[in-house]
Amino acid sequence: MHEPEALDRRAIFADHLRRHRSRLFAYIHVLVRNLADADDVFQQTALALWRRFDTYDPSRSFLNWALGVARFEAATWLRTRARDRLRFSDELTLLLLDAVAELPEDEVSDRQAALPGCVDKLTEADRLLLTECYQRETDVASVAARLGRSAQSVHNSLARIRRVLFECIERTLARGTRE
Amino acid sequence: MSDDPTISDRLRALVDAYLDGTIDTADLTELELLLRADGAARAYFARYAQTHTDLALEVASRTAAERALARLPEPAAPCQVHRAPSARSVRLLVAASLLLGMSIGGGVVGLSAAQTQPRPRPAPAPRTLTLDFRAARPDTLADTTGTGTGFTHRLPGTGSGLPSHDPNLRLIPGPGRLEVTATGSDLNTRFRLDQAEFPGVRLADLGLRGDEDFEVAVTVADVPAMAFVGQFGVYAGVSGEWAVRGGLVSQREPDSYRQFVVNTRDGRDKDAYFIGLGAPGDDLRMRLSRNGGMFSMAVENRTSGATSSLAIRHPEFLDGRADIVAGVFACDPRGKNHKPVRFGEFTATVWVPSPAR
Repeated sequence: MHEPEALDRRAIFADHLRRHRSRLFAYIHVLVRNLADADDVFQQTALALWRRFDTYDPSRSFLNWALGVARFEAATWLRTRARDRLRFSDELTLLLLDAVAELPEDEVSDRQAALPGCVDKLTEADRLLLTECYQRETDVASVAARLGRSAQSVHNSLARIRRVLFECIERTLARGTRE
Repeated sequence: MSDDPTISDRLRALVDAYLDGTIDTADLTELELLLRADGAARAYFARYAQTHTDLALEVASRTAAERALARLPEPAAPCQVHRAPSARSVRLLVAASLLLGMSIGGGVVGLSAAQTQPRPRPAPAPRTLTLDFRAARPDTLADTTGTGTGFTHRLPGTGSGLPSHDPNLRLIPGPGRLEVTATGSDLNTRFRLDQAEFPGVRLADLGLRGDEDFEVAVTVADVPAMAFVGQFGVYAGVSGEWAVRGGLVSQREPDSYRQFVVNTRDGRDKDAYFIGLGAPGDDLRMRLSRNGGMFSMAVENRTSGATSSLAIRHPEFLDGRADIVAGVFACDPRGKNHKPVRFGEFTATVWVPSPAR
């Protein structure tokens, strides 16, 4: 049997986490740079947040608080599981945390809503390359070997596709702002 | 909200390398300094990285949806059951085919009508030679180890100073590559033609008698950096002084190429046409063709996804010639440190008249 107060607390926490999951996950993904690893760290972060939820000051931003915990969890994960992975200094990681936190919530969800339409506009070949690189999350060199291309070429293609999508999203958002 | 024009190309490139995991220590240090110094750069990074993550999730959900759809049981499709066509449907099909000149089921319908027409000229049939460079081809131009590359001839007037085991050629059977190291040479001004690398095949061996259409095509992997006017691609010609060639030519700006096609007339490059851009690391497919007597060049950049077609003033000096050699080339007349160009599958096709029935 759960106390009603505990249930309320859990519901409030779940509401916070759901509302900010996208930016929290993106921030972790940027730090660990692998979707499966990001999922692991996200789970650990969510548990850590729940354990410390008593210390959370509701008058302050949940996202900022959660990002701080995520930074700590990702740093621990990288230290213990991916020592060889190149990463930013702690100082820059803190600055990036601020940049992520400052993204307006509406803009993040508008960007996510615009993305599928932009992916649809890509050529079939570009979509296949995205699937190769993102779905399996293997490194660029492995994808290049599988496709019989050079790693530099695959990297160049990926960068081009990402920029095309980024610009498409920007245009879509700009149109939405004007309308 | 719009893309910030103050974000430099260098920063964008470093962010992409970071997200791909291809960044090295020196570049990570540079990226760190750029991001620490500029709030706008960090805001760009945050948005771009968000797109990167959203993209990963979008691709995962698309793939999951496709996988789920593929598992759904096939619906019963009575309309797909093969049935003998009804007499009415046959009549409709015959009427349509007579109107449209179509064939149905592989056979010509309305034979009596066709018999009253003049017999159409048979379409030329392609004869293709493919070199995939996956195995040695004895008795052909030998690479540095003496391994036969598959190319049988050189553009006449080129390469006369190169040894029989050509140090500039290297067959790599595993991935199917022929590396051709550019030499300090150029058809333009007949610059050191004895060292010029223009291996190829004789189109007469594929049936060329004079005016037939033909095409040569090759893939290029991981374009190397070259000095200004360094160039590589495909060619067709009767000598080092009379040829048409096209491909990529290096620009004054570092790591920058343009696509080109040019006629060499009496040892001088004329009628040059340039379009588009390329960069080291790109993968390409190039095709030089004579179709209906007209020459064109197409460069498909498999890295950027762009395809460019280039037309050129007609090289009438190749009309009616049966002694055309076509192949690949690599020249770097101003370069000091010559890099190999990695050619992949090469094809040469001549469309020869089908024998009369």
